[in-house]
Amino acid sequence: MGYGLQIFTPTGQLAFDASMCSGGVCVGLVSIPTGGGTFLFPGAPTGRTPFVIFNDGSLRTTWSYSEPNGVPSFTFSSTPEGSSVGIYLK
Amino acid sequence: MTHGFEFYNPAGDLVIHSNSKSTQCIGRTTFVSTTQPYAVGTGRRSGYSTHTFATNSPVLWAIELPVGYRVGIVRSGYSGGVYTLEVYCGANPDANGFDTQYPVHVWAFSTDLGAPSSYGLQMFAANGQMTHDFAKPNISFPLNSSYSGNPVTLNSAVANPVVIGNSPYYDVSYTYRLPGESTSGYVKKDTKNFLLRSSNGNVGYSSGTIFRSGTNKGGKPPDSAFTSPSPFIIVEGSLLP
Repeated sequence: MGYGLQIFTPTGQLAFDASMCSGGVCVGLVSIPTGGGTFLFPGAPTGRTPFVIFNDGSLRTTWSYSEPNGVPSFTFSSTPEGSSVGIYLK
Repeated sequence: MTHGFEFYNPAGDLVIHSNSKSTQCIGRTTFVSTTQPYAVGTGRRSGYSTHTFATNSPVLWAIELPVGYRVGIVRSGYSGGVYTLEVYCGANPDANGFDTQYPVHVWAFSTDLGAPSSYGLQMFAANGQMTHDFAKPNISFPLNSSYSGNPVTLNSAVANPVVIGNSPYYDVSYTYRLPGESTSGYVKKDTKNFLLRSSNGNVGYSSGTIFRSGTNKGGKPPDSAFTSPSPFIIVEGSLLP
């Protein structure tokens, strides 16, 4: 590529290239308890598309996203199994 | 925001934000053993490989994507500071859709960055916590992201794609042993979606049988389809341990 941010390792390998990345950014890796819960991320970017990566084989909880007082907030429903998830904003 | 660092890709997606948390690879799991599909009572369950990993942090699992193999995490448990995973890497299904299981590499990604490096670009959130350290050996950023769960075509720059993400559902279907014959008894089949990298460069969900019952008497219940797309991201795996 001919523009943007690139970062190389000490051996000259390309470790990061902003023009190739697909987004988003991770705002947290959290363990969702069986009772569900709300997770707030003050300082995280607002107005972005949220998505949640389920990753540990447990059954899904449903989730919703809002920005009360300008703070990204993810609310997860209760589930028979806890889940470990990655929370992203794109 | 009024301060800090933001970076966007040409499509307008956010790829760096100084208040977000970068993730880095904190190690590769330890392979223990592979179990092929096995009998459970009168039924049959899919196989898996057992892996372990010791950490006190929440982690995301990154799984290698060999061409033609369905991959995913079937189950994970955590006890005494050690995760025990049942990892799926299957292909060559039998007549009932049970894949043969094969070994596959799995890595753990965490937002814990450890001590700052002595050089390179570092970023800190407003609370003073380091959020990015670009000199760390295995920071990875998504090179493909399917936030809708739909298939993606691999970024041509990816040398060795590795996937983070899993479909957290399984579908249940019921079938009479003799089609249309409700007196012949029925069989319950659970299928789960795993991620499959095809030879044409696409990565998307593909289903594998995870359980098949023996014959049950009576009228068959209605099928349940819980599957809907679930997000996943592809990162570069060629620098991972």
